[in-house]
Amino acid sequence: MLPNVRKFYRPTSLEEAVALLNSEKERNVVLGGGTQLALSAHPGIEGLIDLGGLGLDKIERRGEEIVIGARARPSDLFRSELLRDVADNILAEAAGNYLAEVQRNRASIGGILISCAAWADIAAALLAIGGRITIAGKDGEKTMTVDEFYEAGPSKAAHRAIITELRIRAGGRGAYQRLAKTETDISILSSLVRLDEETDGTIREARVVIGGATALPVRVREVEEKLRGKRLDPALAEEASRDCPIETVGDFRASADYRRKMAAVLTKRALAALAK
Amino acid sequence: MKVQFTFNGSKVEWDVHPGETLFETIRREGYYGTKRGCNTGDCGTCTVLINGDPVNSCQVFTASLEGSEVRTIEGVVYRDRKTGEVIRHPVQEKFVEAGAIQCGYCIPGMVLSAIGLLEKNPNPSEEEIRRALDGNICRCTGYVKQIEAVKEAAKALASGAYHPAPNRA
Ligand SMILES: Cc1cc2nc3c(=O)[nH]c(=O)nc-3n(C[C@H](O)[C@H](O)[C@H](O)COP(=O)(O)OP(=O)(O)OC[C@H]3O[C@@H](n4cnc5c(N)ncnc54)[C@H](O)[C@@H]3O)c2cc1C
Repeated sequence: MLPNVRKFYRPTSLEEAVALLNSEKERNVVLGGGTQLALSAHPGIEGLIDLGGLGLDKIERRGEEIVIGARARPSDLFRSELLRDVADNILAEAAGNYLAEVQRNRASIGGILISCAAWADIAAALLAIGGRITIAGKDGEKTMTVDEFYEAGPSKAAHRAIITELRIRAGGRGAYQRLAKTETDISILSSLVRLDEETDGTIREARVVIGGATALPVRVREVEEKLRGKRLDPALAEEASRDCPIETVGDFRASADYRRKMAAVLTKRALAALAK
Repeated sequence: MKVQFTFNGSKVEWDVHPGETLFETIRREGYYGTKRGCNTGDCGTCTVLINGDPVNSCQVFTASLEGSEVRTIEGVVYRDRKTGEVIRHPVQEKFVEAGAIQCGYCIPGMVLSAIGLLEKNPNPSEEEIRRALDGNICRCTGYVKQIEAVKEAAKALASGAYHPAPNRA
């Protein structure tokens, strides 16, 4: 219950939604699925701007790209046939590990990107796949890469703005390894890999991402460097993942040290699964 | 503010606070089958069906449901095709038969999650059943009997002996 909400807006155009968000008179916030906002009792929120009427819930193919609307839900991603064409379906698999069915059916990909919980395997999968995020603000629409989005930090990248869609490149091979206390718990750590290879198997681009190590998912450039220009065989998988030099934090699920060691282990498993 | 939607098969127009959750609305309107558990989105006890999908009602703003279709446990009964008698939904029936209910508090939510699954996927694998119920926490049982009950309900529904009851909000 948000006690001080007085207005519930259902804008039918993006311009209207952006204008409401930038109102000087009242403190309005964007509503995605509401799975976080509905639980909040924030006294400062005066108006909700529902994105439900903007047609942002589709997943579709446009040329070489798959376009995901910001209101698509984890369950939509999990069931999408189109995503099977992207890095061996790792995004859909990550969406399937979003906490539980009753949230997978309601949360939105836009809200997940913004709140960017450390345990958001979906966010880590998006960074591994690579893509562009479209954000609408009062100066119009801009596009940035997922990498730029995380470098700036979600709240800065989308300050008083609305994430409208994601565009990701089809193709590539992918692998996803996660560590969790139980199958249905959130991940302690995850490692996600996307490889784009030439026809002879030479790696053109490698994206290796660790989720859950710190607040935001990170790319492990050192590992990516070792893979680029080579062909992935079991020996290279072993050699490239020997060390994952990333920063980690500890919490009640796992210590920082354990996370750092497991980052290398999970990455080794992910690469081994892709080795020929 | 006023919100219109279909509730358990009937069109309703309810007066709600723009910041209130569906859970709060349902209980105020007198539908006590939807139980309060954690109120933090973690337990699944307040599950309802929104446009056929199981969702925690504590995580949804009622105001966002304009034009939607909402079902609670009160709205899932069936009518026997031969006798016309109002009977429990086959999922409820099989939960009883399988002994899947102990204290019963989580059961309305769990039954709705199972119904949401079977309406989309009439012949689910065990893996799919487990996935569909993964948000409904039960502290009495070990989930085995509920999973069995859902399998039995799938068979019962496939037998064609049931068809949905008319509106009864
Ligand atoms: C019980 C529970 C379980 C959870 N489990 C997981 C999990 O397993 N994995 C995980 O990654 N996260 C999890 N989360 C976190 C959740 O994903 C985030 O809270 C996410 O924001 C929910 O998305 P939503 O669309 O429902 O957000 P909302 O509640 O609608 O909004 C959350 C925030 O995002 C903003 N926002 C929403 N959409 C947009 C948009 N398109 N553009 C700009 N801003 C926007 C809102 O203004 C608000 O500040 C969980 C949260 C809860 C409460």
